[in-house]
Amino acid sequence: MPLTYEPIATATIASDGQGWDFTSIPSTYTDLRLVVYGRGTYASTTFGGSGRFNNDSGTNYSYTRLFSDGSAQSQRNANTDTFNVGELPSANATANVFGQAVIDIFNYANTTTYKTLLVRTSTMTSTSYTFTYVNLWRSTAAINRITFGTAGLNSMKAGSMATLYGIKAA
Amino acid sequence: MANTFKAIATVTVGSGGASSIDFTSIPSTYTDLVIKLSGRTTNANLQDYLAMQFNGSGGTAYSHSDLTGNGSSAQSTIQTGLDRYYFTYVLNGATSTSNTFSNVDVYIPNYASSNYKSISSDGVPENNTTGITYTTLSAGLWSSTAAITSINFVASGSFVQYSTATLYGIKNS
Repeated sequence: MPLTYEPIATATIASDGQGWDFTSIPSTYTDLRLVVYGRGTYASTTFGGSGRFNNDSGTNYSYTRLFSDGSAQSQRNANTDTFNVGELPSANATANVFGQAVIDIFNYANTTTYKTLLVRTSTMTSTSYTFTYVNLWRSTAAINRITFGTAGLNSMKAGSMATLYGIKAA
Repeated sequence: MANTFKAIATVTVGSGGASSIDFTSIPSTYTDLVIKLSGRTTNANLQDYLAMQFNGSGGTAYSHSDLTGNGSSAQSTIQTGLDRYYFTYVLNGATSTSNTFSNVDVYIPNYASSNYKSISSDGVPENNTTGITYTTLSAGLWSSTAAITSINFVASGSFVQYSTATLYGIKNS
């Protein structure tokens, strides 16, 4: 049986304020999964996690989300300059609380279609959120780099951890 | 390179049913935990709750935030100060369609750390009959710095035969 769920890279934030930058992502897998266990450093209870592919800062991203924060809501946003995963705990959250986001990126290495990702994010602190997202990156380029963080695509608390997994179909 | 999605243990309920499903002596050598549960109980309703407790520790350390769809509307519920992590209406009960078992998927990152434990879960007890069914996405927290070494699942009713649960370990290296 082929090995189908393999860690490509993992990184733990060493100092407050840093973000993640996964580079030289090989094209040899079918799908990618990025698992984020994180807390931000921005001075608020929560702050939105976001990222970019291939350092593309153009307004080439969009999302639709369904979420709960005490009420059930759905929103969408077009022509954003990052992909979005929803709120993660930040500096004013209860101590020792980290959130999680599991980001699935399908057919990431193809050079024909735009890239779709599904996101499931959970944050439970004095303000609590359950998110599910679909994001779109309107690019036919193969994904070879992912940057991710909170404010300014960095601003993560030391001890936050992210792992990029490769999933191979065969 | 290592294959990192590994089955730690599987429980399959036998012919006599079971009042709980337990995973014990969970090693601390993985990064994250995943649980896949297929379940149905003897509770005399369409649905039953599922409750998860770590390390035999109750108190008021569990909380959760749910996003639930019942086929006609979406709802949000937040509960805090609980003795367990409750999955609301995620198991098929005794009056639901025969042979129907629910799916529950749980993700627990960094379970062996000294931070509080983040929980994400999805659950569905589809039924194909009149009456309300639910799909629920949840965020949760166990406010404990202890590493998770055991997991206990209970419901209002007993788990019926063929209910199964598998605990997987995810390693990031």
